[in-house]
Amino acid sequence: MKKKEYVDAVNEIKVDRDLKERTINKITQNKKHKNIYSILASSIIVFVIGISIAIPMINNKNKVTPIEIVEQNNGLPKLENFENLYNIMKNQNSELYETNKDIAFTDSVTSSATSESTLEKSEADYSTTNTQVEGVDEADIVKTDGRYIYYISSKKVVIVNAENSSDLKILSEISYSKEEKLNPRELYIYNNKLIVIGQKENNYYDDLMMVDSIYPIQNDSRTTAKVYNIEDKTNPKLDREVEIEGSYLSSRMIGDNIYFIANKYIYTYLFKDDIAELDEEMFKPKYIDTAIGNEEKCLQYNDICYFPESEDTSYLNIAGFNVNNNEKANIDTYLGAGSDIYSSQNNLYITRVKYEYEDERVYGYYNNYDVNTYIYKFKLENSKAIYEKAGSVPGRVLNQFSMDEKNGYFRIATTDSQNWNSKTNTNNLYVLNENLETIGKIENLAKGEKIYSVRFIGNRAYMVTFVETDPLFVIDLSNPNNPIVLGELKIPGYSKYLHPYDENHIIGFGENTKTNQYGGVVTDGMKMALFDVTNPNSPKELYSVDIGEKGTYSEILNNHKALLFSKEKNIIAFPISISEEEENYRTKLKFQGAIVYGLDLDNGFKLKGKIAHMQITDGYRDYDYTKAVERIIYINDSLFTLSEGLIKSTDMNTMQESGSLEIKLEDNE
Amino acid sequence: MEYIDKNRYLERMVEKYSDMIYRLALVRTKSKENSEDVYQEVFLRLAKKLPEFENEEHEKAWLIRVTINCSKNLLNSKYLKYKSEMKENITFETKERHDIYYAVQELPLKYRTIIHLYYYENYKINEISKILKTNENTIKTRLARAREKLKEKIEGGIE
Repeated sequence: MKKKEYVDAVNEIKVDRDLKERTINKITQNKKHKNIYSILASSIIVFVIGISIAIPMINNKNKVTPIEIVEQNNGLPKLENFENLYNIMKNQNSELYETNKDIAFTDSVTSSATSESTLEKSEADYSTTNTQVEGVDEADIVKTDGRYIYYISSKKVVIVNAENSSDLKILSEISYSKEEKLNPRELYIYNNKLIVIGQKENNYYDDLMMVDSIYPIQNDSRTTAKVYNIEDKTNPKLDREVEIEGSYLSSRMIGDNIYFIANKYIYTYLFKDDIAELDEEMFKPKYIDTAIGNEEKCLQYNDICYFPESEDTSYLNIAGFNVNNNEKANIDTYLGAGSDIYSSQNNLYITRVKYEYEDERVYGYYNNYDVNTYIYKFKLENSKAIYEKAGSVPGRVLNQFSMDEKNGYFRIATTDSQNWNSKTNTNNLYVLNENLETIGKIENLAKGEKIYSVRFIGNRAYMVTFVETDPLFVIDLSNPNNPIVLGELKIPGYSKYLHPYDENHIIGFGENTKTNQYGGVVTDGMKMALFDVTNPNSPKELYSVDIGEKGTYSEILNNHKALLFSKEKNIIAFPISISEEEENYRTKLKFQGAIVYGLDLDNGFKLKGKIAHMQITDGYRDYDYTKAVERIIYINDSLFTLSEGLIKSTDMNTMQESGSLEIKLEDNE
Repeated sequence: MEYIDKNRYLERMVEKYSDMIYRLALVRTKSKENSEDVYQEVFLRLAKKLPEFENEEHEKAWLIRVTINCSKNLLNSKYLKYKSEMKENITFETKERHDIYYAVQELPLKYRTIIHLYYYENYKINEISKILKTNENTIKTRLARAREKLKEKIEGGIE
């Protein structure tokens, strides 16, 4: 069946953000002119008054939105009953066209984890997922415990014995029947438990889709966590399963407690109907927890709270449970979706970016808006996420790395703007106390630019903004009430991910840029750079390497989990597709595989080698996605490169292949 | 329909339909530059006309219809800036996707439009017939031919 391939291919095509913004400017400006003419025609006096009103209104715009405490006492309003849900939804529906429903679904899958822990990791001689916070594990498509490799290859999970790197063996495979429609997405390993987080789709591609349906069919995806006992690696046994409604947003595992979050979009179109015609059971959040039975259960409306300011027509479902016992899972539903999450060992923060538009009294003058990031804080306690507080800061948050918690303070970096013209962009950093009240801030950094990456390391924040050159800001946060910019460095290109190398050095992974013949700035290959922040007042770019040309891409630009970094092993490795530019701005694929570097402070980056699972001589015609390297991990002195159809081991010191293992793939569909 | 703010409505429409319009324009014009022109033109027309839509389906069908018209005008225009030839300048995550996408792109205009509407936008034959203002049987025949042609190009064809 190739239909899915076609749909997936088309889905990869996205409209350029700039084109969108230009178009919005164009079509909304048109109206502005019309308004001026009509006002002029009717009366000049009105026009003058209009201006004089408009200007103060613009100036008065409450730019520095102070933190709003949404609820004074931990309690959020409850839905209580279906009538309330109906009224909220109907209200949303009258505003029509939900703006950001997709953000809730997709955005943060890529941006769900990170790591300071890599700095400390030295005892265990195998790699772990590159996470953001020490002690807070993040799920990925591959995990290892130093002897075995657990890997999601296409639609199944394989357990591989990697004790002897020249003799890799598949011990078992966990696959899912077609009826179950489960796509394994990510894994966790905890002692003898393997946790598979998967998504079940009500087959979107069924041809029945639109047939005779008046309304688009309700999205019926479910997110599920399956816990396997893997004491016997040749025979994993399903112990437990917890399933909630919605698309998988992200998850974290702290000790033996796992938390996972899904957004369930509710189609507001249905709420145009009379309430009497709607089945209230249909909108109750559903879940399955095998600890209490195999049948589907419902949450009741009086169990559901809502975020009053969120104006979102999605349920945010949070499940938490302990993988080592069979106690009932904690399942909570909030009305209002989340888009990015950050978790420390004690608190989970879920953010939601919201655009609030000014009303039209300014004669449709500037279509200005306020953009705020709402933050919902949950205390994590024995597999329960307990709602604590909400707060907000001006601007929009980029991803989980824009957030951090230290000594009870929550720090967050945002890009603020007032309309679609990026010239109004400013970049800010806020420090919030335990009650999510802003106590310190820096605002108006790098006007006209936006944040590309942020990393909080100890008492400092490093922030990369970009428009034509890339300033790296070093911000001191040792006094939470008074963060200050210590230094700034301007270099071409930008970093999309910052990784700590040691206390005084940071590695930036990003893209190079060049100016084209029309004066525009275009990307041109990848760039990896080492920044020296020993003197925070004057950060320096010590070394940098350029990789490939236009068309070169690595998952690391959007997903930190694609990085393998070990200072002790002197290894920096990531999957990459390298392209070169040909005439007529076309690009040609030259390589897909893992690229492995070493780094030392005296000599900079050194290419150790490249590991490919496929030979590419004729661009994409030779590209075999089952052989595309997705991750690199290590155990002792062996590197393992993983692609759906093949796992290879390579000696880290000689960079010679030491073994390989083919994974048989079932024919798709 | 009453909108609190027209600008806001237009912004939301851009957010909502951007990808749909751009993707269809790309299928029709086979060039990113031409698709961008079509894309802007469609939204300009929407802003100018602000049609009253009966429901969401009507709204979507209107935009698809306008996208098709705009791309038709552009393709016939002497101002066509870029020859419509797209070769591998979109890279896809998998070879399968790459192959099927370009196989569809190589079909004649009337075939690839129907394939896109049928398989990607999930329209039924009678709906496509309304959108393209073409008789149902013609659509049926074209769809069958398009499938045959795809079968010649790629193993298994499209089902």
